Amino acid sequence: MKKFLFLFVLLLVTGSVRAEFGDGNKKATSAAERKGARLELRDDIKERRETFKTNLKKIKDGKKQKIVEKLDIRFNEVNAKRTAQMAKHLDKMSQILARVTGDTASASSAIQTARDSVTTQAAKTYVVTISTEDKLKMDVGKVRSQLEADLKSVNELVISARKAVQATLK
Amino acid sequence: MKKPLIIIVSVLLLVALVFLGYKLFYKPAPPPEDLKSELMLTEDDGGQADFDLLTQDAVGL
Repeated sequence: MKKFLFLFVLLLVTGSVRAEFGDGNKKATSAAERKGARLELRDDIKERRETFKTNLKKIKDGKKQKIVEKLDIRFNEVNAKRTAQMAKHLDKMSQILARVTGDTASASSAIQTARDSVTTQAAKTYVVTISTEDKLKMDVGKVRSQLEADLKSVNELVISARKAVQATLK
Repeated sequence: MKKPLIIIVSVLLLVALVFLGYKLFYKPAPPPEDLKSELMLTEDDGGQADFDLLTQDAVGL
């Protein structure tokens, strides 16, 4: 009887150890994949940034060159400013929710969804792709529209989170 | 000391401790109206001012 019991316990232990190793491998793989994707994205941004600098020098009109250079920086500044602001608002919402009694699961989940989206948006880099000097306005406009659309879609999630928190206060 | 006296003193001390604990650590939930006003502080223009500035910056292209 004791032998059977020992074997049973041994099987349970080896099973759980194997399961843990299995999960660990999966986590390691997804972490490696994420790191790989991040590096790939960084290389891509670096390449686009270098192309931007090269093409910027080709613009003959010095005034236009300066405007494009400034806007390229401003796009990323606006992205950083807006995402920081949204993150601050989400922190405030979490603090408010912590003081609410009752069911807050739905609001909490909405805040987390918005927070994840803000983190992804904050990691984005916007680089102007210069085609020709006469199409500068269009090239810059494309990036501006993209930035605006991205920030608006993240802001929609922040608004949804705010509405979810508001619903818990009724 | 007599046993009943010890019991009475202990009970009184316990009641005093519970009362003190309640006064010091219990914070009643704030009224929803206060939280609603706090929540309103998380509202903004969605970055419209920044987008308008970007439009101004692009003048001259």
